[in-house]
Amino acid sequence: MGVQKEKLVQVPRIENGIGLMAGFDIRVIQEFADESLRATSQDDIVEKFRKESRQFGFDYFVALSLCDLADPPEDVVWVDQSPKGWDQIYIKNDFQNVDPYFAAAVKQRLPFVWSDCLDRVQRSKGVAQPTHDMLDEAASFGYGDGISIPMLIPGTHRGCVSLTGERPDLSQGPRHTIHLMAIYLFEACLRINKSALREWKAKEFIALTDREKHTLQLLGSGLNASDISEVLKVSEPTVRYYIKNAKQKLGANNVTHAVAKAMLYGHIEI
Amino acid sequence: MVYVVNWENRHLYASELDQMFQSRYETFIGMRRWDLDARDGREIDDFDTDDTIYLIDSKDGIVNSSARLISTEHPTIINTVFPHLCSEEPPCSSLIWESSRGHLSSRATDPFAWTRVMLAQLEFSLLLGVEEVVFVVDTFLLPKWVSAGWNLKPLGPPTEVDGESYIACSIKVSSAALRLMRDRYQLTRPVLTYIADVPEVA
Repeated sequence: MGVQKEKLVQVPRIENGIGLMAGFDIRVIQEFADESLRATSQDDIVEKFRKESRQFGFDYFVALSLCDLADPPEDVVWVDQSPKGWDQIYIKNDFQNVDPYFAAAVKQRLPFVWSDCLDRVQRSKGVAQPTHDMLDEAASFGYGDGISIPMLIPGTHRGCVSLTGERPDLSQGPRHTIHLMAIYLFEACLRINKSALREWKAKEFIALTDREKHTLQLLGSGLNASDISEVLKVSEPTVRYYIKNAKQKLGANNVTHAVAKAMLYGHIEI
Repeated sequence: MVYVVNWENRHLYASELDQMFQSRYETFIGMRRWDLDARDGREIDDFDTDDTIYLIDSKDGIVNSSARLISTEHPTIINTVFPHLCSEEPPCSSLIWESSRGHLSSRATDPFAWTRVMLAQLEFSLLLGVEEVVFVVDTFLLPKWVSAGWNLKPLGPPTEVDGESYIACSIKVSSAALRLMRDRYQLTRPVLTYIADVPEVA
């Protein structure tokens, strides 16, 4: 940030045309950002990103947390829009270990074009045969040149969004557009996944019995323990026992809290 | 606490301001190697004027973190030095302020001080009716900022300056954003303090 000293200068007028870059429209990107920040469905935002990236000839993309792809942990981003069958071949052949773009995405902080990355590898240590084999196999699936956009977010696995196609437009405007949109795509996927995982865990690990659920359902409908004992045809102390257990399992402070949590986790509907 | 320092009360914070300018020198010239003006080991530039507001986190007289805010009605870094980072006309409004030189001092005794300064910027903006805060950030940090929950938008493409990539961004100020950030950082109470210079009554 230091080529030019920060001297006070006259505010320059932006003439018509200045700031224009083919394939880069800041308003389109800001709209995409708006949509993705509000997104609650991963499928919707992935579809939107797919449409935007297709305009530039990117036929396929993945948004992934960089982890062991054969055995990924659960709190990761995993959006796979690669050609059918490629993921299985990739995992079966352990291509992750010879994929130069995967290796670069683990190290780099900024987006890189695949052909530039391969040139760098060629110049430094040469491209090994297994890598050539992987690239040939990828080409047979319609992979041409591409771009990878690393995602560094503290507290999460390092991630990457990669896009490719037979003849993608990798000029400056599309590159910047895809770069910025990919950041918002990744954020949305991460946020939506985390929320889904929280809900799934809550449902999975809080195993209420049918009697406990029924009791909470009736409490939520406004019945008291005595009413419920009549409905369930059990004694009142038994109803109180169900309530006590449900409260404990849900970590609830009182009956209202237990009903609210049971609703939140999808155990009951009122 | 984060203290608001403006032209009216800055004489109350002479030591804090001096520490801040030294810390800016260490961070931006010493560590980041930016080519900026310096005076006696202090980084002070043409944007440090009477119109500048400083938010300074300090405890027991030691400055941990700071940022400066300038209304984009006045000359700012984005509208004078880096207007080309914006795809459209750079912001110029009393409702849009620029944040710059935000940093955690290398001598900070509290690593959460920068978080407080970030929250202080939101609190200050809400108090003054500021609608947006704009700033320039390293491009590789953008995923971190977006994922932090700020309602953040780019103002233009990433641009290389002196071998590093930077991007101009804007954050929408709202009470919802403040609530979200307070929840996220588990700081439920306001962090901002303004001490006015009250003249003694004779």
